[in-house]
Amino acid sequence: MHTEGDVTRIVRSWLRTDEHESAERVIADVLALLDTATAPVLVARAEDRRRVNMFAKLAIAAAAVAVLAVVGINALPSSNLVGGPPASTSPSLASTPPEAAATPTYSEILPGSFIIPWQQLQIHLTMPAGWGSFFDGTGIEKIPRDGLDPKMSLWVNDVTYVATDVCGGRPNEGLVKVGPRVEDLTTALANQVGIQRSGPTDEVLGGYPAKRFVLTQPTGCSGTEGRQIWANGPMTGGLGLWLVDGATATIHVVDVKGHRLVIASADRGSPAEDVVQLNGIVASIDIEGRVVPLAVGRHSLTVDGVPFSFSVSTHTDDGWADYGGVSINKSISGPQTAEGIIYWTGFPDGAHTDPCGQMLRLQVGSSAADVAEAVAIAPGIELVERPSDVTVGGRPAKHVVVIVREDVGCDPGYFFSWYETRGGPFWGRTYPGDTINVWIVDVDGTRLFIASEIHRDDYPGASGPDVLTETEKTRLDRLEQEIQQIVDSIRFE
Amino acid sequence: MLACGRGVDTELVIRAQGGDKGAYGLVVTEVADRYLAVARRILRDIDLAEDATQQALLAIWQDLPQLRDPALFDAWSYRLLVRACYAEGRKQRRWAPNLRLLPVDRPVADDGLSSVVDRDQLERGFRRLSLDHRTVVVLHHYLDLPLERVAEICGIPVGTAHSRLHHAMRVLQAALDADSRPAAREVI
Repeated sequence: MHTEGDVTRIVRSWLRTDEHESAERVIADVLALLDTATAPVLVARAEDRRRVNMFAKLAIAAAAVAVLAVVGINALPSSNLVGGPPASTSPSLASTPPEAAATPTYSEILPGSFIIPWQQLQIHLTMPAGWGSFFDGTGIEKIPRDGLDPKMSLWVNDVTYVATDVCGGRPNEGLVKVGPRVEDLTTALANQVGIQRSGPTDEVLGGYPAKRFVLTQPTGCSGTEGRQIWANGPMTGGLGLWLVDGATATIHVVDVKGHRLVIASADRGSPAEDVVQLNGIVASIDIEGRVVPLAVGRHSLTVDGVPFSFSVSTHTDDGWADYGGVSINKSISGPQTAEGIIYWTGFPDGAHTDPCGQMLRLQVGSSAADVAEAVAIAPGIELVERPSDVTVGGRPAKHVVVIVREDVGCDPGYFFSWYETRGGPFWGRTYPGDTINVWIVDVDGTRLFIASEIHRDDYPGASGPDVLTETEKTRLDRLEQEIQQIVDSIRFE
Repeated sequence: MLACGRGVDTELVIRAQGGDKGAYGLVVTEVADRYLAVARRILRDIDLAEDATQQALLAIWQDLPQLRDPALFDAWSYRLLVRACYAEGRKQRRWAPNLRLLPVDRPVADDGLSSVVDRDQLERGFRRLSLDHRTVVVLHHYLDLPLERVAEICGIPVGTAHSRLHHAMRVLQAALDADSRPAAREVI
């Protein structure tokens, strides 16, 4: 247990580590611009300065990505993976988070399907019990029975640099850039020295051809700090795959219609039954659901057995994209964002408005009214519109609107993770300032849960220095209108 | 104590206000490393931090004539830097990588930051904080600015700065405590 003084001292020390920033590139760009421009316009994005290839750029921009996994004693998340506060056994209707909220924990994945969104793909996994999500749901780890470090994980990678000699030279040096193609990486891995390797072996993963490598770090090379096999994203970020002595990584380099997908799993001495589980998870992988821009017009889908359709009226080049039927998203400020999301799921009876995954679970009744009330009193929010009776697609529904006011420490997601019947705590992230509209529609006894989320920095009560331009405000206003139009356009078949 | 307290030569600021690009170039050279360090600590991403620093330095140049008291350059420019960090932070709001940094070659500090795991937990805890909270922590605990100045830079009441700092430190404490473990380490 750390005292307040301990924490202050540790945080201050931590902030002062790695003080080696050099702004040479920034200075050069700024000075060049001073000579040529009268208005401050970015002449080079950081990615351009670093000459990160397009694949990496897209990876950084568009996906929730697990970019570091070190199978080492000191490196993996530890006991906080184990559970966290138990689910409340009584209704918690407090408008402020319970004390437990101050202790962020990873979410244990409930057995069933789990989706890892990756660039324009979705990786579906079938999960057994006893696993947790990490990196905002973009990777998984076996929750250790002993409460110590996890020994087994699986995640998706954005490989940009590969070590030529894992064990030679100084630790973690000698990385060379690797191209974006499947063969670029497989060749680099096949030529890598200083590591025990088998492969490449042909395989099929998720319905696509793949190459598999199994890498084992020889003892006496890396000790407990680990040696870097590759880097994800910028090389200087210290991110990527690292292995400690005796650890093993299995690499799947998948060719998804010319698009390289790298899935890695790592293990350092897990029990045999855990290995069996991991193999089962890998075997369950299904790769699908490319993000598809939605054409103007009507689109149909079925959620939890409920068929319905909705209309999109904006142009495709500035429009909504379908994320595998789980949600439709729209970005109005570039590929790194999705300022507007409409998300839909069914929910069987039980607690499926599940703020913070299992951390702040509310015991919610099964009726639409119960769910709406639960949303209205969720921790960290301000109620904007109380639950009211509306109709969606001609069916009775409850509607409630909230604004996220406080980061209550959910993980994954900063505020709220809706339980997704097809994929666990799927909802990406919510932030203070997000406006969430929820409609719970009763369709012949089946309840359909529809939520939209939009972020604005000028939300009422915002106290930071952020200011939206008039153009941004106009675009956000229009986005809000589009969301309402889409919901209004819903028809049940 | 970091370089924040050193301040930028007021004469250079005055010359830059008059349109002297050479003078502003010297200002940029003086402050850029420090601003990048602050931005990186707030944003936890070197690419975003570089972009934020660049945007801030350009915004400072553009708005410099509006600065009434050149002696207040530091506080004023930090405000623009923080604003640029917010703007960049917006770009990683959704579907952005939740990067987890693992410093490998850094010396182990002898002050409680005793393991890579501590740093990892701090990193994770810090990333859970909003930009509002991160900014207050960095300005106060990294730049050693008093909360009154932090509040001024962020454009918030002093009480809010206190509140944000308190909340942030609680989250970081929780992150550290959540990872408390037996002293004996497992050997593979």
